[in-house]
Amino acid sequence: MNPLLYILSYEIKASTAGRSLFLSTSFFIIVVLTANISMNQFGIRADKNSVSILWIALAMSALLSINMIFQNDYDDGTLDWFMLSPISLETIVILKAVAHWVTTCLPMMLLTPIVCVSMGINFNSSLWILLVMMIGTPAISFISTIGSALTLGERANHLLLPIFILPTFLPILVFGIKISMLVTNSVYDSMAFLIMLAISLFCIAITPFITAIIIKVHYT
Amino acid sequence: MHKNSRSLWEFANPKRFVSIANKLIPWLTICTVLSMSVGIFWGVFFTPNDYRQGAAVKIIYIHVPSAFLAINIYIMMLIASVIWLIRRHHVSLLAAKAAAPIGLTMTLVAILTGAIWGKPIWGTYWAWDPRMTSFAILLMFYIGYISIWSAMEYNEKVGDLSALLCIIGSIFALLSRYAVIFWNQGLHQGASMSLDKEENISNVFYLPLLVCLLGFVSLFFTLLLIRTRTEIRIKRTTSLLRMN
Repeated sequence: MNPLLYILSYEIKASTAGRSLFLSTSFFIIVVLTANISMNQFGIRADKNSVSILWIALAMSALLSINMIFQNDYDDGTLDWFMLSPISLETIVILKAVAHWVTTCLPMMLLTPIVCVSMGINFNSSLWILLVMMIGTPAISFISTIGSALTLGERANHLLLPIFILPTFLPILVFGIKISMLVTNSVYDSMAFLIMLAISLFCIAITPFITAIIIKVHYT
Repeated sequence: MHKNSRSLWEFANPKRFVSIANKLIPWLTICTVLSMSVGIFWGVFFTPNDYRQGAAVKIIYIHVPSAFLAINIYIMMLIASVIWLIRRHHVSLLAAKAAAPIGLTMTLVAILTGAIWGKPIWGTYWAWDPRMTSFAILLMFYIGYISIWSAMEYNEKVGDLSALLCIIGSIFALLSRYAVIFWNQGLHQGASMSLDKEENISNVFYLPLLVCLLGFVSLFFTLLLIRTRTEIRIKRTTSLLRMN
Protein backbone atom coordinates (compact mmCIF):
# COMPACT_ATOMS: atom_id res chain seq x y z
CA MET A 1 0.00 0.00 0.00
CA ASN A 2 1.16 3.49 -0.77
CA PRO A 3 2.60 4.94 2.47
CA LEU A 4 0.81 8.25 1.99
CA LEU A 5 -2.56 6.53 1.59
CA TYR A 6 -1.76 4.38 4.59
CA ILE A 7 -1.02 7.43 6.76
CA LEU A 8 -4.19 9.13 5.55
CA SER A 9 -6.40 6.13 6.30
CA TYR A 10 -4.66 5.71 9.67
CA GLU A 11 -5.37 9.36 10.51
CA ILE A 12 -9.02 9.09 9.51
CA LYS A 13 -9.43 5.89 11.49
CA ALA A 14 -7.74 7.42 14.52
CA SER A 15 -10.08 10.43 14.53
CA THR A 16 -13.24 8.41 13.91
CA ALA A 17 -12.29 5.90 16.59
CA GLY A 18 -12.07 8.69 19.14
CA ARG A 19 -15.12 10.72 20.04
CA SER A 20 -14.07 13.87 18.16
CA LEU A 21 -16.21 13.12 15.08
CA PHE A 22 -19.36 12.70 17.15
CA LEU A 23 -18.52 15.65 19.40
CA SER A 24 -17.86 18.19 16.66
CA THR A 25 -20.95 17.32 14.62
CA SER A 26 -23.21 17.39 17.66
CA PHE A 27 -21.63 20.67 18.77
CA PHE A 28 -22.40 22.08 15.32
CA ILE A 29 -26.05 21.01 15.45
CA ILE A 30 -26.48 22.25 19.00
CA VAL A 31 -24.97 25.69 18.36
CA VAL A 32 -27.11 26.21 15.26
CA LEU A 33 -30.29 25.03 16.98
CA THR A 34 -29.85 27.01 20.21
CA ALA A 35 -28.99 30.18 18.29
CA ASN A 36 -32.02 29.82 16.04
CA ILE A 37 -34.40 28.97 18.84
CA SER A 38 -33.25 31.86 21.01
CA MET A 39 -33.44 34.31 18.11
CA ASN A 40 -36.92 33.21 17.14
CA GLN A 41 -38.15 33.90 20.67
CA PHE A 42 -37.45 37.59 20.26
CA GLY A 43 -39.12 37.81 16.92
CA ILE A 44 -35.87 38.39 15.04
CA ARG A 45 -36.15 36.89 11.59
CA ALA A 46 -33.80 33.95 11.78
CA ASP A 47 -33.15 33.49 8.05
CA LYS A 48 -31.30 36.82 7.76
CA ASN A 49 -28.70 35.94 10.38
CA SER A 50 -28.83 32.19 10.15
CA VAL A 51 -26.16 32.03 7.46
CA SER A 52 -23.62 33.74 9.73
CA ILE A 53 -24.64 31.48 12.60
CA LEU A 54 -24.08 28.49 10.34
CA TRP A 55 -20.56 29.62 9.45
CA ILE A 56 -19.58 30.59 12.97
CA ALA A 57 -20.91 27.27 14.30
CA LEU A 58 -18.83 25.56 11.63
CA ALA A 59 -15.66 27.45 12.57
CA MET A 60 -16.18 26.81 16.27
CA SER A 61 -16.83 23.10 15.81
CA ALA A 62 -13.68 22.88 13.72
CA LEU A 63 -11.86 24.55 16.64
CA LEU A 64 -13.08 21.85 19.04
CA SER A 65 -11.07 19.13 17.36
CA ILE A 66 -7.96 21.19 16.57
CA ASN A 67 -6.16 20.04 19.70
CA MET A 68 -6.23 16.48 18.55
CA ILE A 69 -4.49 17.00 15.19
CA PHE A 70 -0.94 16.72 16.54
CA GLN A 71 -1.26 16.36 20.31
CA ASN A 72 -1.71 12.56 20.48
CA ASP A 73 1.09 11.96 18.00
CA TYR A 74 3.32 14.32 19.96
CA ASP A 75 2.58 12.52 23.22
CA ASP A 76 3.09 8.96 22.01
CA GLY A 77 6.10 9.72 19.83
CA THR A 78 4.51 9.15 16.41
CA LEU A 79 5.48 12.67 15.46
CA ASP A 80 9.15 11.83 16.15
CA TRP A 81 8.88 9.03 13.60
CA PHE A 82 7.24 11.36 11.12
CA MET A 83 10.17 13.74 11.60
CA LEU A 84 12.64 10.92 10.91
CA SER A 85 10.74 9.37 8.00
CA PRO A 86 11.72 10.06 4.37
CA ILE A 87 8.30 11.66 3.79
CA SER A 88 8.61 15.41 4.28
CA LEU A 89 6.89 17.01 7.24
CA GLU A 90 4.92 19.29 4.90
CA THR A 91 3.32 16.23 3.27
CA ILE A 92 2.40 14.87 6.69
CA VAL A 93 0.76 18.21 7.52
CA ILE A 94 -1.24 18.09 4.28
CA LEU A 95 -2.41 14.56 5.09
CA LYS A 96 -3.35 15.61 8.62
CA ALA A 97 -5.32 18.58 7.30
CA VAL A 98 -7.14 16.39 4.77
CA ALA A 99 -7.98 13.89 7.51
CA HIS A 100 -9.24 16.74 9.71
CA TRP A 101 -11.38 17.99 6.83
CA VAL A 102 -12.85 14.55 6.15
CA THR A 103 -13.64 13.84 9.78
CA THR A 104 -14.91 17.23 10.96
CA CYS A 105 -15.87 19.51 8.08
CA LEU A 106 -17.38 16.92 5.73
CA PRO A 107 -19.95 15.55 8.22
CA MET A 108 -21.00 19.10 9.07
CA MET A 109 -21.36 19.95 5.40
CA LEU A 110 -23.52 16.86 4.83
CA LEU A 111 -25.79 18.12 7.61
CA THR A 112 -25.94 21.64 6.17
CA PRO A 113 -28.89 21.15 3.74
CA ILE A 114 -31.03 19.69 6.53
CA VAL A 115 -30.02 22.44 8.97
CA CYS A 116 -30.67 25.10 6.29
CA VAL A 117 -34.20 23.83 5.71
CA SER A 118 -34.85 24.06 9.45
CA MET A 119 -33.81 27.70 9.27
CA GLY A 120 -36.16 28.56 6.44
CA ILE A 121 -33.59 28.66 3.62
CA ASN A 122 -34.89 26.87 0.53
CA PHE A 123 -33.21 23.69 -0.65
CA ASN A 124 -31.83 25.17 -3.86
CA SER A 125 -29.98 27.96 -2.00
CA SER A 126 -28.72 25.49 0.57
CA LEU A 127 -26.93 23.57 -2.19
CA TRP A 128 -25.22 26.82 -3.20
CA ILE A 129 -24.25 27.41 0.43
CA LEU A 130 -22.84 23.89 0.43
CA LEU A 131 -20.70 24.79 -2.59
CA VAL A 132 -19.39 27.91 -0.83
CA MET A 133 -18.58 25.77 2.20
CA MET A 134 -16.82 23.28 -0.03
CA ILE A 135 -14.53 26.14 -1.12
CA GLY A 136 -14.02 27.60 2.37
CA THR A 137 -13.73 24.63 4.73
CA PRO A 138 -10.48 23.12 3.36
CA ALA A 139 -8.77 26.41 4.21
CA ILE A 140 -10.24 26.26 7.73
CA SER A 141 -8.83 22.74 8.17
CA PHE A 142 -5.42 23.79 6.90
CA ILE A 143 -5.28 26.89 9.12
CA SER A 144 -6.30 24.70 12.07
CA THR A 145 -3.04 22.78 11.77
CA ILE A 146 -1.17 26.01 12.57
CA GLY A 147 -3.06 26.34 15.84
CA SER A 148 -2.55 22.72 16.73
CA ALA A 149 1.18 22.99 16.12
CA LEU A 150 1.51 26.25 18.08
CA THR A 151 0.05 24.86 21.29
CA LEU A 152 1.81 21.46 21.22
CA GLY A 153 2.73 20.28 24.68
CA GLU A 154 0.80 23.07 26.38
CA ARG A 155 -1.87 20.93 28.00
CA ALA A 156 -3.04 23.66 30.37
CA ASN A 157 -3.47 26.24 27.64
CA HIS A 158 -6.38 25.00 25.56
CA LEU A 159 -7.99 28.38 26.06
CA LEU A 160 -5.06 29.93 24.26
CA LEU A 161 -5.89 28.29 20.94
CA PRO A 162 -9.15 30.03 19.99
CA ILE A 163 -7.61 33.40 20.88
CA PHE A 164 -5.22 33.32 17.98
CA ILE A 165 -6.87 30.85 15.62
CA LEU A 166 -10.37 32.29 15.41
CA PRO A 167 -9.15 35.67 13.99
CA THR A 168 -7.22 33.85 11.25
CA PHE A 169 -10.49 32.34 10.02
CA LEU A 170 -11.77 35.86 9.35
CA PRO A 171 -10.98 36.20 5.62
CA ILE A 172 -12.74 32.90 4.89
CA LEU A 173 -15.64 33.75 7.19
CA VAL A 174 -16.16 37.24 5.75
CA PHE A 175 -16.25 35.99 2.17
CA GLY A 176 -18.14 32.79 2.97
CA ILE A 177 -20.90 34.55 4.88
CA LYS A 178 -21.27 37.35 2.35
CA ILE A 179 -21.43 35.03 -0.66
CA SER A 180 -23.83 32.70 1.15
CA MET A 181 -26.07 35.67 1.93
CA LEU A 182 -26.01 36.79 -1.70
CA VAL A 183 -26.85 33.26 -2.78
CA THR A 184 -29.86 33.05 -0.46
CA ASN A 185 -31.10 36.24 -2.14
CA SER A 186 -30.55 34.63 -5.58
CA VAL A 187 -27.57 36.80 -6.53
CA TYR A 188 -24.64 34.93 -8.05
CA ASP A 189 -21.39 36.91 -8.03
CA SER A 190 -18.81 34.82 -9.89
CA MET A 191 -16.06 37.38 -9.18
CA ALA A 192 -16.53 37.00 -5.42
CA PHE A 193 -16.54 33.23 -5.82
CA LEU A 194 -13.21 33.37 -7.61
CA ILE A 195 -11.64 35.66 -5.00
CA MET A 196 -12.82 33.38 -2.23
CA LEU A 197 -11.33 30.43 -4.10
CA ALA A 198 -8.06 32.38 -4.38
CA ILE A 199 -7.96 33.16 -0.66
CA SER A 200 -8.74 29.55 0.17
CA LEU A 201 -6.04 28.23 -2.16
CA PHE A 202 -3.55 30.77 -0.79
CA CYS A 203 -4.18 29.55 2.76
CA ILE A 204 -3.87 25.93 1.64
CA ALA A 205 -0.63 26.71 -0.18
CA ILE A 206 1.19 28.46 2.67
CA THR A 207 -0.01 26.67 5.80
CA PRO A 208 1.81 23.30 5.36
CA PHE A 209 5.15 25.14 5.29
CA ILE A 210 4.31 27.34 8.30
CA THR A 211 3.05 24.36 10.30
CA ALA A 212 6.13 22.30 9.44
CA ILE A 213 8.39 25.15 10.63
CA ILE A 214 6.42 25.42 13.89
CA ILE A 215 6.67 21.66 14.53
CA LYS A 216 10.41 21.77 13.91
CA VAL A 217 10.67 24.54 16.54
CA HIS A 218 9.28 22.10 19.11
CA TYR A 219 12.04 19.61 18.32
CA THR A 220 15.10 21.90 18.38
CA MET B 1 34.59 40.26 10.85
CA HIS B 2 37.27 42.89 11.36
CA LYS B 3 37.50 44.03 14.93
CA ASN B 4 37.11 47.73 14.24
CA SER B 5 34.43 47.44 11.60
CA ARG B 6 31.23 48.96 12.88
CA SER B 7 27.87 47.52 12.00
CA LEU B 8 24.30 47.82 13.10
CA TRP B 9 24.49 44.41 14.78
CA GLU B 10 26.77 45.79 17.52
CA PHE B 11 23.64 47.15 19.16
CA ALA B 12 22.30 43.61 19.43
CA ASN B 13 24.70 43.06 22.32
CA PRO B 14 22.41 43.35 25.38
CA LYS B 15 25.07 45.05 27.52
CA ARG B 16 25.74 47.68 24.88
CA PHE B 17 22.03 48.10 24.30
CA VAL B 18 21.40 48.76 27.99
CA SER B 19 24.22 51.31 28.26
CA ILE B 20 22.99 53.17 25.17
CA ALA B 21 19.40 52.98 26.42
CA ASN B 22 20.48 54.44 29.77
CA LYS B 23 21.98 57.43 27.96
CA LEU B 24 19.07 57.91 25.57
CA ILE B 25 16.11 57.54 27.91
CA PRO B 26 16.44 60.96 29.71
CA TRP B 27 16.77 62.84 26.39
CA LEU B 28 13.87 60.99 24.85
CA THR B 29 11.75 61.68 27.94
CA ILE B 30 12.47 65.42 27.66
CA CYS B 31 11.67 65.32 23.94
CA THR B 32 8.40 63.49 24.61
CA VAL B 33 7.23 65.83 27.34
CA LEU B 34 8.15 68.95 25.34
CA SER B 35 6.69 67.96 22.00
CA MET B 36 3.54 66.38 23.40
CA SER B 37 2.72 69.34 25.61
CA VAL B 38 3.59 71.89 22.91
CA GLY B 39 1.69 69.96 20.24
CA ILE B 40 -1.44 69.36 22.28
CA PHE B 41 -1.55 72.92 23.73
CA TRP B 42 -0.97 74.43 20.30
CA GLY B 43 -3.57 72.16 18.76
CA VAL B 44 -6.24 72.58 21.39
CA PHE B 45 -5.94 76.30 22.23
CA PHE B 46 -4.35 78.02 19.24
CA THR B 47 -6.08 76.51 16.24
CA PRO B 48 -9.51 77.51 14.95
CA ASN B 49 -12.50 75.21 15.18
CA ASP B 50 -13.44 73.36 12.05
CA TYR B 51 -16.34 75.05 10.25
CA ARG B 52 -18.38 71.84 10.21
CA GLN B 53 -17.08 69.77 13.09
CA GLY B 54 -16.62 72.57 15.65
CA ALA B 55 -14.32 71.82 18.59
CA ALA B 56 -14.66 68.06 18.08
CA VAL B 57 -11.93 68.26 15.44
CA LYS B 58 -9.33 68.70 18.18
CA ILE B 59 -9.34 65.04 19.10
CA ILE B 60 -7.34 64.56 15.90
CA TYR B 61 -4.19 65.48 17.87
CA ILE B 62 -4.48 62.24 19.82
CA HIS B 63 -6.40 60.07 17.39
CA VAL B 64 -4.15 60.32 14.35
CA PRO B 65 -0.78 59.81 16.14
CA SER B 66 -2.09 56.85 18.14
CA ALA B 67 -3.58 55.23 15.05
CA PHE B 68 -0.30 55.83 13.20
CA LEU B 69 1.62 54.16 16.04
CA ALA B 70 -0.84 51.27 16.39
CA ILE B 71 -0.16 50.17 12.82
CA ASN B 72 3.56 50.94 12.78
CA ILE B 73 4.27 49.19 16.08
CA TYR B 74 2.89 45.99 14.58
CA ILE B 75 5.19 46.45 11.58
CA MET B 76 8.10 47.08 13.97
CA MET B 77 7.23 43.87 15.85
CA LEU B 78 7.12 42.00 12.55
CA ILE B 79 10.58 43.27 11.56
CA ALA B 80 12.00 42.50 15.01
CA SER B 81 10.52 38.99 14.89
CA VAL B 82 12.02 38.33 11.47
CA ILE B 83 15.41 39.56 12.72
CA TRP B 84 15.10 37.19 15.68
CA LEU B 85 14.27 34.25 13.43
CA ILE B 86 17.19 34.96 11.09
CA ARG B 87 19.98 36.30 13.30
CA ARG B 88 18.80 35.13 16.75
CA HIS B 89 19.48 38.36 18.62
CA HIS B 90 17.70 38.27 21.94
CA VAL B 91 17.38 42.06 22.12
CA SER B 92 15.31 42.00 18.95
CA LEU B 93 12.93 39.39 20.35
CA LEU B 94 12.65 41.21 23.66
CA ALA B 95 11.96 44.48 21.85
CA ALA B 96 9.08 42.83 19.98
CA LYS B 97 7.77 41.43 23.25
CA ALA B 98 8.10 44.83 24.92
CA ALA B 99 6.42 46.68 22.06
CA ALA B 100 3.23 44.57 21.96
CA PRO B 101 1.46 46.03 25.03
CA ILE B 102 2.33 49.57 23.87
CA GLY B 103 0.80 48.77 20.49
CA LEU B 104 -2.30 47.33 22.13
CA THR B 105 -2.69 50.48 24.22
CA MET B 106 -2.29 52.70 21.16
CA THR B 107 -4.93 50.65 19.30
CA LEU B 108 -7.32 51.05 22.22
CA VAL B 109 -6.59 54.79 22.43
CA ALA B 110 -7.25 55.18 18.70
CA ILE B 111 -10.52 53.24 18.92
CA LEU B 112 -11.70 55.13 22.02
CA THR B 113 -10.87 58.61 20.71
CA GLY B 114 -12.49 57.66 17.42
CA ALA B 115 -15.62 56.58 19.25
CA ILE B 116 -15.74 59.81 21.28
CA TRP B 117 -15.35 61.83 18.09
CA GLY B 118 -17.76 59.67 16.13
CA LYS B 119 -20.73 60.19 18.45
CA PRO B 120 -21.26 63.93 17.77
CA ILE B 121 -20.07 63.86 14.12
CA TRP B 122 -21.35 60.57 12.69
CA GLY B 123 -24.03 60.02 15.32
CA THR B 124 -22.63 56.68 16.38
CA TYR B 125 -19.82 55.43 18.58
CA TRP B 126 -18.98 52.52 16.35
CA ALA B 127 -19.78 51.34 12.86
CA TRP B 128 -18.48 48.31 11.00
CA ASP B 129 -16.63 50.49 8.56
CA PRO B 130 -13.53 48.92 6.92
CA ARG B 131 -10.99 51.18 8.65
CA MET B 132 -12.55 50.61 12.04
CA THR B 133 -12.94 46.91 11.36
CA SER B 134 -9.26 46.69 10.51
CA PHE B 135 -8.49 48.23 13.90
CA ALA B 136 -10.68 45.61 15.55
CA ILE B 137 -8.72 42.98 13.62
CA LEU B 138 -5.43 44.56 14.69
CA LEU B 139 -6.62 44.49 18.29
CA MET B 140 -7.32 40.75 18.03
CA PHE B 141 -3.88 39.98 16.67
CA TYR B 142 -2.19 42.09 19.37
CA ILE B 143 -4.17 40.14 21.99
CA GLY B 144 -3.14 36.85 20.37
CA TYR B 145 0.53 37.83 20.39
CA ILE B 146 0.45 39.00 24.01
CA SER B 147 -1.48 35.93 25.12
CA ILE B 148 1.16 33.54 23.82
CA TRP B 149 3.77 35.38 25.91
CA SER B 150 1.58 35.51 28.98
CA ALA B 151 0.72 31.82 28.79
CA MET B 152 4.23 30.41 28.55
CA GLU B 153 7.50 30.98 30.33
CA TYR B 154 10.29 32.78 28.50
CA ASN B 155 12.56 30.52 26.51
CA GLU B 156 13.88 30.35 22.97
CA LYS B 157 11.11 28.00 21.86
CA VAL B 158 8.37 30.40 22.94
CA GLY B 159 10.37 33.17 21.27
CA ASP B 160 10.28 31.27 17.97
CA LEU B 161 6.59 30.52 18.36
CA SER B 162 5.73 34.14 19.11
CA ALA B 163 7.81 35.38 16.18
CA LEU B 164 6.07 32.93 13.85
CA LEU B 165 2.70 33.94 15.30
CA CYS B 166 3.55 37.59 14.56
CA ILE B 167 4.31 36.75 10.92
CA ILE B 168 1.20 34.58 10.53
CA GLY B 169 -0.84 37.30 12.22
CA SER B 170 0.34 39.97 9.81
CA ILE B 171 -0.49 37.78 6.79
CA PHE B 172 -4.00 37.05 8.04
CA ALA B 173 -4.59 40.58 9.33
CA LEU B 174 -3.83 41.92 5.83
CA LEU B 175 -6.02 39.28 4.19
CA SER B 176 -8.91 40.04 6.55
CA ARG B 177 -8.50 43.77 6.00
CA TYR B 178 -8.78 43.42 2.23
CA ALA B 179 -11.59 40.89 2.57
CA VAL B 180 -13.53 43.51 4.54
CA ILE B 181 -12.66 46.33 2.12
CA PHE B 182 -13.84 44.20 -0.82
CA TRP B 183 -17.41 44.27 0.43
CA ASN B 184 -17.62 47.73 1.92
CA GLN B 185 -16.07 51.03 0.89
CA GLY B 186 -16.88 52.71 4.17
CA LEU B 187 -17.65 55.83 6.07
CA HIS B 188 -14.25 56.86 7.43
CA GLN B 189 -12.43 59.72 5.66
CA GLY B 190 -9.12 59.11 3.87
CA ALA B 191 -5.69 59.55 5.39
CA SER B 192 -5.16 62.93 7.04
CA MET B 193 -1.47 63.31 6.31
CA SER B 194 -0.42 61.00 3.52
CA LEU B 195 2.61 62.10 1.54
CA ASP B 196 1.35 61.23 -1.92
CA LYS B 197 -2.04 62.88 -1.91
CA GLU B 198 -3.06 66.24 -3.38
CA GLU B 199 -5.54 67.08 -0.68
CA ASN B 200 -4.48 66.85 2.95
CA ILE B 201 -5.77 68.72 5.95
CA SER B 202 -4.94 72.44 6.01
CA ASN B 203 -1.61 73.69 7.37
CA VAL B 204 -3.23 75.27 10.44
CA PHE B 205 -3.97 71.78 11.70
CA TYR B 206 -1.08 70.05 9.99
CA LEU B 207 1.81 71.66 11.89
CA PRO B 208 0.59 71.01 15.46
CA LEU B 209 -0.39 67.51 14.33
CA LEU B 210 3.18 66.96 13.16
CA VAL B 211 4.49 68.06 16.58
CA CYS B 212 2.04 65.70 18.29
CA LEU B 213 3.15 62.90 16.03
CA LEU B 214 6.76 63.55 17.00
CA GLY B 215 5.69 63.48 20.64
CA PHE B 216 3.89 60.15 20.30
CA VAL B 217 6.75 58.58 18.36
CA SER B 218 9.29 59.64 20.99
CA LEU B 219 6.89 58.46 23.69
CA PHE B 220 6.88 55.08 21.98
CA PHE B 221 10.68 54.96 21.79
CA THR B 222 11.02 55.98 25.44
CA LEU B 223 8.61 53.31 26.59
CA LEU B 224 10.14 50.75 24.25
CA LEU B 225 13.66 51.36 25.56
CA ILE B 226 12.50 51.25 29.19
CA ARG B 227 10.48 48.08 28.66
CA THR B 228 13.20 46.33 26.66
CA ARG B 229 15.75 47.23 29.35
CA THR B 230 13.41 45.74 31.95
CA GLU B 231 12.96 42.58 29.87
CA ILE B 232 16.74 42.20 29.54
CA ARG B 233 17.15 42.57 33.29
CA ILE B 234 14.35 40.05 33.97
CA LYS B 235 16.03 37.59 31.63
CA ARG B 236 19.41 38.08 33.35
CA THR B 237 17.89 37.68 36.78
CA THR B 238 16.04 34.52 35.91
CA SER B 239 19.09 32.92 34.34
CA LEU B 240 21.18 33.88 37.40
CA LEU B 241 18.57 32.36 39.69
CA ARG B 242 18.50 29.22 37.58
CA MET B 243 22.30 28.89 37.88
CA ASN B 244 22.20 28.81 41.67
